[in-house]
Amino acid sequence: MKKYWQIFSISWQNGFVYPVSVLFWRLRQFLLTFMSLTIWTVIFTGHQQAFGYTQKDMIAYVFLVGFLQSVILATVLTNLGSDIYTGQISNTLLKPINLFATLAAQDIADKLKNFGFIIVETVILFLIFKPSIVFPPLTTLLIFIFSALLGAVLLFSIMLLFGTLGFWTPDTWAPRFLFYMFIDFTAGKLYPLNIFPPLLQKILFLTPFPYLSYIQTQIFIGKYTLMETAQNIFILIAWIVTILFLFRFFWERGLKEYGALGR
Amino acid sequence: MLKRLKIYWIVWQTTAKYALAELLVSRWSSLIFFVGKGARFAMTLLFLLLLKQSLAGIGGYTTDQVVVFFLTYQLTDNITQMFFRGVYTFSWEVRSGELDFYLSKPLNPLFRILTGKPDFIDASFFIPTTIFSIWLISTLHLHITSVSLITYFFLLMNTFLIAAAFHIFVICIGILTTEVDNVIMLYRDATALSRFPIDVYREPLRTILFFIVPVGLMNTLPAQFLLNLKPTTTVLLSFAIGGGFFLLSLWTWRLSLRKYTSAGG
Repeated sequence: MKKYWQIFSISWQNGFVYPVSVLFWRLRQFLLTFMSLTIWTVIFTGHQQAFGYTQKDMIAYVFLVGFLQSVILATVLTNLGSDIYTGQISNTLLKPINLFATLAAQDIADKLKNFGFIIVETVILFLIFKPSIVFPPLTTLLIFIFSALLGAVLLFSIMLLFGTLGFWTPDTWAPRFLFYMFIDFTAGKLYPLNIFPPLLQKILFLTPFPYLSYIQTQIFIGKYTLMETAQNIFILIAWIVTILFLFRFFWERGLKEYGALGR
Repeated sequence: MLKRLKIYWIVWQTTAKYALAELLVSRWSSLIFFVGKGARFAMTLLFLLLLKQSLAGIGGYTTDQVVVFFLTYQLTDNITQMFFRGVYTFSWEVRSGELDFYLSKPLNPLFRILTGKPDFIDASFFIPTTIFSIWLISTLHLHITSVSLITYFFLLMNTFLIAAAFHIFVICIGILTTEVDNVIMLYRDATALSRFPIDVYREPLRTILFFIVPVGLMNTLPAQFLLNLKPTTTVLLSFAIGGGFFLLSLWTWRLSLRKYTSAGG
């Protein structure tokens, strides 16, 4: 465990080597959430309700999902595919450490680094928009935290799966680009998914995207019954297991074909 | 002068051919990028159309008018990315020393950096989205006249002048810090604020986005003139700010070149 703690510590320090880069990244996330909150504030000017939400509910929703996605969607696994394709991963494979535990330690360090900034951003947004956040009962809050952690695990699994593309192609950015495009609209960041027509909602819920942050926010604001909460968490876990299974399949196939020279 | 322009045209053509060849080598990736851009366009439009079904207006604008603001942003963003995609890979050119080759050639290096890698994915996306946008606008309840249309296209020239200035600023930051990726995306996020009319934002952000970081002049103002709405500012002031912004970017470029230290390659 000590070596993974060292990896965590080094990753944490590495995250601040280029502080301007971090600052710009956080500024971008802040702008996105700010835009969403502003637009919804304007939409509700002159309207009591829209899509079954009051202004208070919608602002609370956008505020929460912005906070949640900033933590869940932060990842260091974006370079895994290119590390595999270029052979850089050989260094890690040869060492007496578990690659996935290493990646997990690095990811946790990155998320915690982002979490620190998110607190500051949240305070600023809170002072500007003054959302009415009603904390749920303790049980619901614990379920929310648990589901949020599962959301982070789901993204980690998805990024691992994308990483396996590196065994066969250098073009790993294009599928990730498509994934991020879909996440922008289907993980519920700009608007809750239940504003869509029922058929489109059904289609979206066949994908893992709503389980990254949308269902967690709905759990927090009390939109789900206990049965619906249990069902969604079960589906979330099922997605994690499925994607990890797919990852393991492609990873083992990829490793059989993998070769790296000169390292 | 004509001979000089011909040289620039030949250089641009050559780099465009290389860019097209690179795109065709990775056909599947290019297709995925195309689909991703289409998905982004479609989902935002879907959101606006859902708003239209539920609400009469947003921030003093009808939802039909808000759609026009979004389509204007889409048009200018598309064209800008088509021509200025070269800026996105500039950090590599600085770190590798490739910039030195640009500086040593008898060709304006700014031209080379800005336009060195035209994006044919955006070019191919431009045609169907423009046709679709024109069709969509024709179905909306809008008050567009021939005068407002001419003014709109006239103001779009200012839009591209400001966009060029922004990209030059990004290049300057790239030379001074080698940090381009997040800066260019920050520019994209700032312009994305103009998907909706800038005057829906609160002060002082509204003033900042119109007159200091003039994304409002890029997209909101042309759309206001097109729709015969009360414009935030005049055409003359808009061009004055756009021109001033562009001149400032050129001055910053010259300053950053003086500070540039080669990679030693």
